[in-house]
Amino acid sequence: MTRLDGRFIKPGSIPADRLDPAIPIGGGAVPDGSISPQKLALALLRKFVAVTWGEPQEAAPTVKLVPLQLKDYLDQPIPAACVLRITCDDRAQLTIGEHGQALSGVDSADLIAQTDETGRLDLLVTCAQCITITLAAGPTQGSPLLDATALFDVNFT
Amino acid sequence: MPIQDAVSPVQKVTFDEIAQEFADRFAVVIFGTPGAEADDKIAVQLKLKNALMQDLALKERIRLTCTAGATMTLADAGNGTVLSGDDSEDIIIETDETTGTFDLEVEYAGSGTVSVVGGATQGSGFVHCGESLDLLFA
Repeated sequence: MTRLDGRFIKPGSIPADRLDPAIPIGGGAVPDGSISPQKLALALLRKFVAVTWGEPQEAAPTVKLVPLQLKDYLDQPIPAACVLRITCDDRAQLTIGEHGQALSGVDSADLIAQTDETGRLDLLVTCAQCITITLAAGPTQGSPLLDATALFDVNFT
Repeated sequence: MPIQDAVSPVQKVTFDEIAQEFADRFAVVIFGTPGAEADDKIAVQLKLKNALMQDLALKERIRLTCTAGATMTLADAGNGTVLSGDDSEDIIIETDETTGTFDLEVEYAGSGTVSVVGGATQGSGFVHCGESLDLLFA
């Protein structure tokens, strides 16, 4: 009789003596330390929203377009409109381009914005000086669980 | 033996079953035991744990606020960095990357309890700051 490997077991669907001996009996079928983001259901995986930054583009002589994309822990885009706060050095001003919308703080260094339905936000950074501006995102009122550990440096030369 | 005994229902997944790298994505802020008051100052170490409550050596950004009238800073030669608001009641700090700690010093000229609470801010990851700290100044 061919043993089953347990991947497709439904409780009560097969006799116990056909289980592979490697399957622990009486619970503990999930070994400690084995659950990674790859094993999460999509709906659960997307509860953990990470902020990522794309390559900046020149929008005007003193303006850079920096795309921000929400991703899950498998580096896949999260198609959801999420509210987040973005801050930077006072010497620059922030506003929103084609994707996403500003909720408050337009043309300031402290912006609250919402990504579009694809999870993208086009950030327009204006700075008249030849300096590096560091962008930081973070959660605010209305934000989901947000991993905003990644900062982003925009060089104005 | 019924088959149900051999199959662990998915609802029983616990933190212990989470992979180390995944568990390290979830930081928990823990306060150590405060030192004795000296010159209106009390030192206390803030430490990161992961979801398994193991020490977490990570650079994490946290906003700390405290009771009005008190101020906060990094203790002399302590681990970590103050990013903004140094010597105020509202500071943003970064834990030390190699130890996951921040050595906090709270100063209060009056007497009474000073409460310190942390929270996520710009540049934070998933950080749980459910534990606050009460410091008693004589």
